[in-house]
Amino acid sequence: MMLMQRLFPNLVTNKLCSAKILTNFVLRCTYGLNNVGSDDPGVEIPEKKIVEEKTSLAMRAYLQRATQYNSFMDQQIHEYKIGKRHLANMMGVDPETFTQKDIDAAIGYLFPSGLYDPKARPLMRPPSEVFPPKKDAEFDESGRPFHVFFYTGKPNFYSILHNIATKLVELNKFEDSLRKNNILPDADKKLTSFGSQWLSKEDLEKKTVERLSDHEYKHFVVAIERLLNHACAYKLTEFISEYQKPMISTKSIVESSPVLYTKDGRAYVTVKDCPRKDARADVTVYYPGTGKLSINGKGIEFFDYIQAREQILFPLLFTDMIDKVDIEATVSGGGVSGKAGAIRFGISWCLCSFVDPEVVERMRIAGLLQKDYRRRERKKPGQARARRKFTWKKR
Amino acid sequence: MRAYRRVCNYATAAIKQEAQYQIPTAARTDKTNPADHDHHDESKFYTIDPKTITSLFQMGGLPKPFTEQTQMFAETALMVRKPALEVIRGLKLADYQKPVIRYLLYGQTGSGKSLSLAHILHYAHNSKFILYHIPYVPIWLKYDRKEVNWSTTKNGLADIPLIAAQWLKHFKHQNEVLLNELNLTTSQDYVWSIRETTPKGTILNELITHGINRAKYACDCMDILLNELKAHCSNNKCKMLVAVDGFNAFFNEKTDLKTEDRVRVTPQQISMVQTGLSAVLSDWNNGAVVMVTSPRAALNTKRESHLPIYLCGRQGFEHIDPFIPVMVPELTTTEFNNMLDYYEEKRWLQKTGGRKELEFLTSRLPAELMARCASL
Repeated sequence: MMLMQRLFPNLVTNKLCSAKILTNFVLRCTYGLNNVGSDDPGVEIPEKKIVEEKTSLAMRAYLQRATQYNSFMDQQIHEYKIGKRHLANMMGVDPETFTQKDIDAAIGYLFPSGLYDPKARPLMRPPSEVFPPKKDAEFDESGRPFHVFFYTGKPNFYSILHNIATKLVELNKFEDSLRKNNILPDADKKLTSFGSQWLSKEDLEKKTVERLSDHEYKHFVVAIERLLNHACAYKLTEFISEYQKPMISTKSIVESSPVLYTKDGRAYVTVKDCPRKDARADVTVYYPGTGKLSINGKGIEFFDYIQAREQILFPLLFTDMIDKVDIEATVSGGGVSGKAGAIRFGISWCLCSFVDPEVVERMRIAGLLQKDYRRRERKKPGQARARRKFTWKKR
Repeated sequence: MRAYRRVCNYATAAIKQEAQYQIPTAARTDKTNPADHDHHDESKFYTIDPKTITSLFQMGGLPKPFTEQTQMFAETALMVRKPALEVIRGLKLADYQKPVIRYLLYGQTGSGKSLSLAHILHYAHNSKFILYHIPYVPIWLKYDRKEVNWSTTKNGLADIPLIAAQWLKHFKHQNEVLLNELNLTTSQDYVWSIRETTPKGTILNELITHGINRAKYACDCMDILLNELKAHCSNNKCKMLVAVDGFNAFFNEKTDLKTEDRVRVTPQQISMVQTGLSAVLSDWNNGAVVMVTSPRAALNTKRESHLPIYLCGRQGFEHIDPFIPVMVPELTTTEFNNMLDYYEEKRWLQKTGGRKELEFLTSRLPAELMARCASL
């Protein structure tokens, strides 16, 4: 319904003067789209009104499938409701006020699962979320399809492509008319894809209730991008934005730790429990300083290996703060590289408070502020190490 | 580092250096005699002529990486540093009629203790001291590839005859000219066996040669030589400098050595160690003792601190007490810059810059700096 409302005024207002055939098509097309993916339970398919004798073979088959599906869903919903009440009783809570959130908590409590993937853990959700929706009837009782693109097999998808194409033609005409009057399309109004991305294949599949191949999705992206790059695309902002979603901001807000002051007025920042492998470090950075370093009471000699020393050096070199800060670190647990990595992480986060936001952003891009989640890989039976196999010997 | 370069958008190979840049020259001093060095020469380089190097350090005394570097640079340039100057000044001003003064150089691994000792040895050599120099104690006590026998003369002690003979060679090489000049003789008869005796009045060179040729008696020869020299010094016939590098190895808990009957010996059970320990006693005069304690000479389980009392233990500390401790610190900023200037002058470093990084990575320890500036 909503889709139609969105499409329809757009088309009609823009195209009042266009050819009759197109107007005709639009009406028929929207009729087809009307029933597509309606999730409103109030809207029922008028299947009961259909007289059985007149129905075509296809319609009968569809009806059979639909009743089967509906009864199945009814059954599932019934079971879900019963299960919910049981669960509420088990947990000793009032079943009437038992919400989905409570269900999730109860399931997590009653069936604790160590499985890694959340999808693999036991769950109890409304059947409408668990079972994929089915398309409603796409043809009338005589077997005649509603949708003009029915025989493409993916009517909704191809109607989107079709809309894009017609709009492109329309824009071309508009641009021509502008140029005839010696007006150039406004360059300032030109649309960009900045800050947003196209609907993903999965989103588009959901929107159309049709399975799409990679190839088809690529087609869609090419078409919509062409529309977007048109000089007059600003006329269709609304239409294009239907297929866009805002880019998830990769720029996570780097919250620097609070700056404290010593008695003699030096600023310092402490970051506790900086992790890397099994090592944990507490790092304090004083600013201004002279480049003193103390790791568990020792200097850089705490690390014998040059690699570990360079790990400590890296954030300081990156921000050009080698001789401008003093560093105090205590580190425990883990091995050499773990210790060095933990201190590096701590220093980087401390330095965030003392450098410009641009430098912080560069540090983030360089990966200095990213926690390293990698852990030691376990040894497998039948293998020499985590990956290494025993030497293969014929016999 | 790689990530840094990626972010900064350049690669090592892409750095373009000015083809012509001023090659810096290191600050040097013209005074080749360490006796002339004073605080004006501090942090400057002085060159030791190759003849002295062969006569002094032919058979050990300079750390191996440093020797390799001198071969590369075709000169042996030492930096004049404060600890060595301090000891040299002490040697100049000491009253030689009093019991010997003992100096102890200590400091972190790679802070330049051995080279400071080399500087002091050069001074002593020029000032006509007889050098009783033990280049590095752990090479006596490490690596079980040595012939170890129970001593026939001293009960309960073990000899390492070949090592002792080698040391005698070292001693002879360092002091041959001076001994010939001084013409020192033995003060009593020494009977080695029925057929072999060294009569009273034999010159010491002959005694040493006997020790070298008859390695069986080398350990005893070492001991006798020390006693003779101590006596001569006390009689004001000569001056002697006892220098022991890796002194704290004398007080380690164990050695790698096993006797023929597969008994592990401790350092205290070795006759050469006992000789070394008696050398650093202050029961003689007209001389000096310079010792170096080093964490590297200790067992690898006992290297947390570089302080002498930790490394030598209570027993060792009491053995050398009282002594003058001389701390060998890391390089100062001037010394550090001069060192890098020297490397750039020698074209050992092809590019300038990066000094802050080097300073951070090496914490200004000269040996570390040498390793960092060398090829991989």
